[in-house]
Amino acid sequence: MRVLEVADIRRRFGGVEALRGVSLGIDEGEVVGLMGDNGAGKSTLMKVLCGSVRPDSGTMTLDGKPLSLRSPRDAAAHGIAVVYQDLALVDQRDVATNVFLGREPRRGLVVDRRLMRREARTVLDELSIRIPSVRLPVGGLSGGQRQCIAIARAVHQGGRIVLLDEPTAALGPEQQANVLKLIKTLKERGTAVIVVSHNVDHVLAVADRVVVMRAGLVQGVRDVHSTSAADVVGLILGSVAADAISHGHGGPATAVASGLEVETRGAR
Amino acid sequence: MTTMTVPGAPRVDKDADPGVLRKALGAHEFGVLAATVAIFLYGTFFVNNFLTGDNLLSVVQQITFIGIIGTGMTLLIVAGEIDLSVGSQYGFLSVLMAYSVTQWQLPILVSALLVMALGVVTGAIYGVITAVFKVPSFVVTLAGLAILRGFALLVTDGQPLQGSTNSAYHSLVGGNAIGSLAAQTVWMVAVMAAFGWILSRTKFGYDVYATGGNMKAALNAGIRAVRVKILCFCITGALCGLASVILVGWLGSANPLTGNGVELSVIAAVVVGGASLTGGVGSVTGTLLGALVAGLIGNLLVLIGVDGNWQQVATGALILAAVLVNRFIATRQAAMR
Repeated sequence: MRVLEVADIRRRFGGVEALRGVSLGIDEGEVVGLMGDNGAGKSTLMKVLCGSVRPDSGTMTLDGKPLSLRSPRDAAAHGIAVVYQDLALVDQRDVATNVFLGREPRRGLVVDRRLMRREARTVLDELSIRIPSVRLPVGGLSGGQRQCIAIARAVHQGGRIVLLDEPTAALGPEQQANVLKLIKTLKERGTAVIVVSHNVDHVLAVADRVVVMRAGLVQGVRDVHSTSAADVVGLILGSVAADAISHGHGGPATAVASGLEVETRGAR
Repeated sequence: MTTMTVPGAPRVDKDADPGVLRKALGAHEFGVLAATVAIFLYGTFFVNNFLTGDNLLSVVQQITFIGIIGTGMTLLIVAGEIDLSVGSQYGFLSVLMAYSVTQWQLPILVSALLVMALGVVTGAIYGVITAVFKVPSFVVTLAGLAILRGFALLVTDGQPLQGSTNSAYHSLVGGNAIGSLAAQTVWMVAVMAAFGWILSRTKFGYDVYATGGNMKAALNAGIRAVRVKILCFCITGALCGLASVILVGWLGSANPLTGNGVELSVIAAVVVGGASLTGGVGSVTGTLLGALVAGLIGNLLVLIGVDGNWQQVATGALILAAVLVNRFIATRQAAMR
């Protein structure tokens, strides 16, 4: 079932047209990988989806009903949650507090810490996230565990559509595997997940579809079962550049994709 | 007797309470707690007249104003901000309290509310400039420190003002509650207990920690972090007002130089109590212990007969020692994981 659909979204920042008519839909239990070089418009699209940027034109529908988001808070109320790397957790506070950040359960005037710890553990167990104790401050946990806690919060706070911004960047291989496993768990639970990533291998490993953006437009959509890393990289870079590079170096596609992150957004 | 059979292996509760001792050893307040106990024991065994009810009560009475203002400062520092003007605010509001009672002839309760309300307004101004216009609170309140001290001196022409002679007012804030337990001590305990509870147990307290720990994460989680910061400034202002009301009632007069340098003692108490100036860490209990340990050191130096100026040196050394111990605890905690 289609949960979220956006059509012909346009957004201009001064003289820069960041989105030039983007359409995208996602189903329940589907994982969509959103790829593209820097400046392609991924971040702006994510910001539109989570309510922090209002599009100049275009329509959004949630469960078939028209949707207009005024703020990230509004988006969260509609079940759209975004997980930013490093912008999600309070290091000094423990795991349970971070899972409930901003929405602590209360008993009278007092925060119900026992309930919070118990429920945090339940959520972590459900998502097969391994944390020694929910009393630990998150500052001391590994990058992968932190990312998983941030995702667990998005899900626990009612996120049916979870937007992940570079969830595997700056993590070790084992931690990356844990995060990818968690994305698969979310999919099995029927959560719709949009993953923004520069890593083609990771996207191909978890996504059902890959949406590639370039210069504010959707350059192509591929089913992961009928595409290859080289094909996706070709879309990201534009066919001419991809040909030149794959013939010239012949290196792994991921290295090409992440090696060519050129900052092109002069207006930002 | 038959033994009960438990189906399956007993499940180990990973999130179980780690126990009082382990918690104490890992807490940010461990350093100051250890120092307080050590100094107390030293005084008990080696210093005459230390372990008497009257002496200990006088120590607690002396830290009243540091404790009350320090409670607001704790909230503020946990929220990631600071107020350097608390000493001047305390002085200016004391003068205003005396002025309001004697010159304007306002009833004491009205004057007290007026003074606390003005503290709230001052805090709100700092809060808005800091949180909305993004000027560091260090700079904003440094300006406030000068401005308010100037006002205190202008209002009084630099001369102490006569305050109220109302005996009910005096006994409520300056008398003895029970035996030689001073009323102002009771006020301090009430303020610290109330705000200690608010900071550690309520949703507002959780928001304060989240705001100071990671403001962006707090905002992303839907916490109104700007409002939280402004409220912390307002609470600090109100508590400066309360301290002024108590002081004027107790002394019956107000000196425009009241509270000169008090901001340093207050910040010292909060930092010695385990708070981090980068925000997100600290507690009212820690601040109480921080104020207490400074008070105890001062008291012991007097009892031993050391030159009073050494007290300044001792306070400075205490701050350094406490920060180093906290640093050590933080690294050990990191290593334990």
